[in-house]
Amino acid sequence: MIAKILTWMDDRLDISAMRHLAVNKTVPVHRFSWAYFLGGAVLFLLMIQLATGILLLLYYRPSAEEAYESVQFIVAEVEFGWLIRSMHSWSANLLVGVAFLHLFTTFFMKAYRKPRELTWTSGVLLLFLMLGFGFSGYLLPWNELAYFATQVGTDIVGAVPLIGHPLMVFLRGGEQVTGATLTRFFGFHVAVLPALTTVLILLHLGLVQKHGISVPPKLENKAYKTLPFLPNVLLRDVLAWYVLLAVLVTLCAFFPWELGTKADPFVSAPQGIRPEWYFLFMFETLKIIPSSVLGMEGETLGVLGFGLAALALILVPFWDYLAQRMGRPALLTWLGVLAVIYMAAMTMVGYL
Amino acid sequence: MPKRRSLLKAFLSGSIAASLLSIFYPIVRFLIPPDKPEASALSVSAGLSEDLAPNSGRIFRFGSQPGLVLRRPDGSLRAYSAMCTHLDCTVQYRADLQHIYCACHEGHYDLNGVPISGPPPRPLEEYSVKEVGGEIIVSKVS
Amino acid sequence: MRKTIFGRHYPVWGWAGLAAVLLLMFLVQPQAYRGLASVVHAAEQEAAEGAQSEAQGDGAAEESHQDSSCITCHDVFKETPIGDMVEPFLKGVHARAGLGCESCHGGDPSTSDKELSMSPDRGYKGVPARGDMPQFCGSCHSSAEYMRRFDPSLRIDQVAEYRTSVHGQKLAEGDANVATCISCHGVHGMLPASNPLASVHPANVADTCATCHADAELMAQYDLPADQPQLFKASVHGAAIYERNDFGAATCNDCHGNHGATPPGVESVAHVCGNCHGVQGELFSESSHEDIFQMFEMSACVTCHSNHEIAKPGEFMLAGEDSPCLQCHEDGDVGMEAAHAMAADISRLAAHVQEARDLLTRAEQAGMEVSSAQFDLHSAHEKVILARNLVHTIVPERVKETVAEGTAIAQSAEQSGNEAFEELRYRRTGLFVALFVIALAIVGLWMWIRRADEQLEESRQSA
Repeated sequence: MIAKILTWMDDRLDISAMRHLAVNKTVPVHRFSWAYFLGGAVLFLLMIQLATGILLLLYYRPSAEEAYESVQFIVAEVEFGWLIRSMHSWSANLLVGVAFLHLFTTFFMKAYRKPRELTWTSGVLLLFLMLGFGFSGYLLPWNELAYFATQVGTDIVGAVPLIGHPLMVFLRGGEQVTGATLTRFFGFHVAVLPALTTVLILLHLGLVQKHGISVPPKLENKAYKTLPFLPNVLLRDVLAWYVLLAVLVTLCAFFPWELGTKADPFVSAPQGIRPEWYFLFMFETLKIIPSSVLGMEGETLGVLGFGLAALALILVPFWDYLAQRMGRPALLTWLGVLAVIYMAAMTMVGYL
Repeated sequence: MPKRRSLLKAFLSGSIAASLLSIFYPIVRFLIPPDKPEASALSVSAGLSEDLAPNSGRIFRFGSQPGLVLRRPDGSLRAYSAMCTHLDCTVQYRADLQHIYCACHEGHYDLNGVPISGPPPRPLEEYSVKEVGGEIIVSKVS
Repeated sequence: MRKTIFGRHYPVWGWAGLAAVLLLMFLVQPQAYRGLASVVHAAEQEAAEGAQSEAQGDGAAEESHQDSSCITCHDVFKETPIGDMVEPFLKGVHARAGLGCESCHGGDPSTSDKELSMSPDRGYKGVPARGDMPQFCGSCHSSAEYMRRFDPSLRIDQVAEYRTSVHGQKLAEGDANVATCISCHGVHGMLPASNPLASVHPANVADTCATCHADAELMAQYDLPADQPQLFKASVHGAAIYERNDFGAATCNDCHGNHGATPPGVESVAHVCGNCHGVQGELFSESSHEDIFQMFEMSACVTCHSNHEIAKPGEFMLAGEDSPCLQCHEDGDVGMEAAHAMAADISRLAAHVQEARDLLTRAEQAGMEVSSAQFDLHSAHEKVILARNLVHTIVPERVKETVAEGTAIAQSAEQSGNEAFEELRYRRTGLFVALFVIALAIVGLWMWIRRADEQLEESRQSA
């Protein structure tokens, strides 16, 4: 039956190349091959976000007067609205977590080496887009925590030298965080970021299929076991997705996402405002930088530092090439370990 | 072993179908709009237009707060928050005085919601009110 | 030296010179603009000021009084007591009505000859004696025909009222220290009470009265305390006026009268307070304590609430150590037991309503729909207010009745809140069902994977 459908499509769309790829695609098997499921997990969570996001879009209203009430309506009146909303919020957090994990595993397995540099670059850009999704989406319920977290976050953007202020005004839709900011973030969240993500994902996945799955350096030029993608690895992928779904459902059951209180711009910020956990390490870093360093404002230095770090992340394949040329192939790995420890430590500090 | 294989297949397809059902059932229920099409904090029905005679008013529920809808003697509709601006008691319409009145401390408001006697310090919050299809619809002034 | 660009010749120094001039203009321009701007700004300001003063109408009064020699001469000494009344007068209500200095003082404003303009032959009356002020002002302000020309809505009985007041009576006895018309209204720059700058505007009345009534030395001569204005400002009425600009609240003249100023007698205090506090006044007048208070010549409202330093009331007035009930009652007697019972009932209900409100807010923040219960809770809150009113009946049973009604509502609201949290827990159960189904699917998939792997092994071995 399936064969008949495929032949029908092949006669009209010429999918023989794709079929050949799918049937012959293999995945290496070794100690760390569990990491190969992470990319697919990110994709799965992204699909969940897309689905729940579209469902929420049917009832949500992106204006300061109505946003909170519309989310309240979804959660209290619409059948299973509480579930869709909780899923969307929890899946967002899981997505960012799994994306970071995917980043770390591909980094430590050196999957970015030639010819996969563009895969890495598009992946890092995708990570930034996911963080953008998180930041923009967090404001949409227009509750107190989100309002002040956005204020703090966009204030930090304003600390970038030269372009910081115009950038902040662009993000906020004005000098302050207002209803204009909400509408703007909504536009970013449902149109701009999805469009950019689609383009980058097609590139990223297309490159992955073209180059095949990489192996860690130790296994290169050696024999290793493989499994065919269809059906063995795909079944395992689906299993991983079901497990992820189970985790999501458990989180929604035990930690349903709260509504909070409606944002009131005239109330002073409550104590202990902080961004979501995936921004926490940056937030804590800014807090420990002294207010003035070498004549520059501490915050500006911090923001510049993050900018440089982001650039460095994009250029990782290049650093590795340099390290190889210098004869110190393990250097990058050690830097990576330090970075991971730092991020983990600063995130924990934020919760103390 | 064919029997085991078909049992396995049945179990597998059954469980996957059930899991897909438990995913799509909430989605389908979600897509069907609830009875109340809009958040009650934004816009509510305050009853039938014909039930509100000139020079009369009634209390209705606007989200979590009381509202007062009244028809002036000339037939025009007004709607206000029924929370007295003094100490949040619920005001009422007094047809004998053509005033809005709060029984807690004898506060009087005129039919524009402006206090004219007694302790209320501020006018009542005004809502926007329309007659749509024989029903009185009250919403917050944007 | 001639260079070429695109085959055309051009002089280097000429272009360099032009560039230098442009650069200089660019650098210097802020300075030039600033100089130009300040000239324009100054001109604009002058024009604005001119427009503003015209709008205020000073110009109109000034213009019509420009011909008055009184104004012209006395204005020269505007920094001294001889001339400092000119400006306030021109801004005041008499000048706007078209009256001049001669309207009260007589004399001839058409001549600038000092002897003639201030000659008794031309009607000059000079400065009236303090004790003659009521009569002096009353010569216009008590005449209905005269006042009708200017403001038909103004009363014309102020002098008559004044003569009945403590101030008026003392003045008749020969005491010139008491307040007369000018003490409160000012001498020259009189403004109507609706004007926030007027000495008799509700926001300023207490300060005007305080000029004498806060003077301890002066008040000692009449055996009066001098702390009333200060006490008043500390009261709820003072807070309403001075902090919230709520001029509906009572100030000195609302209770004491303005022209007929006399402290209300013991029998009339309740009526005076009851003008605004109608509900409590009525309830008290029907209570047992009304007659008892009259018997002991105790003031109805003042006994418990004080007259000037009226504080925000609460249950502490029934049950606290400083309870005004203790002025007559003793701890443990029937009266204090009743007071404690009322206080306990009301506090309990108020606390219950607050607890229910907090519970519903928590449920709302968790995402549950509780607006209907929150709506009902308003009625419970109202019962607390009504119960506090009913304290004035001095009948604990009536308070208890209302408190019981409120408690029933608060209880049902609380129940709705609990049901909302139940619903949250119920959802958890539903999700466990979904989890179970997903677990089944996982098991099924795992079995399928095993079978696929087995098949793969078989196919590889046979290859």
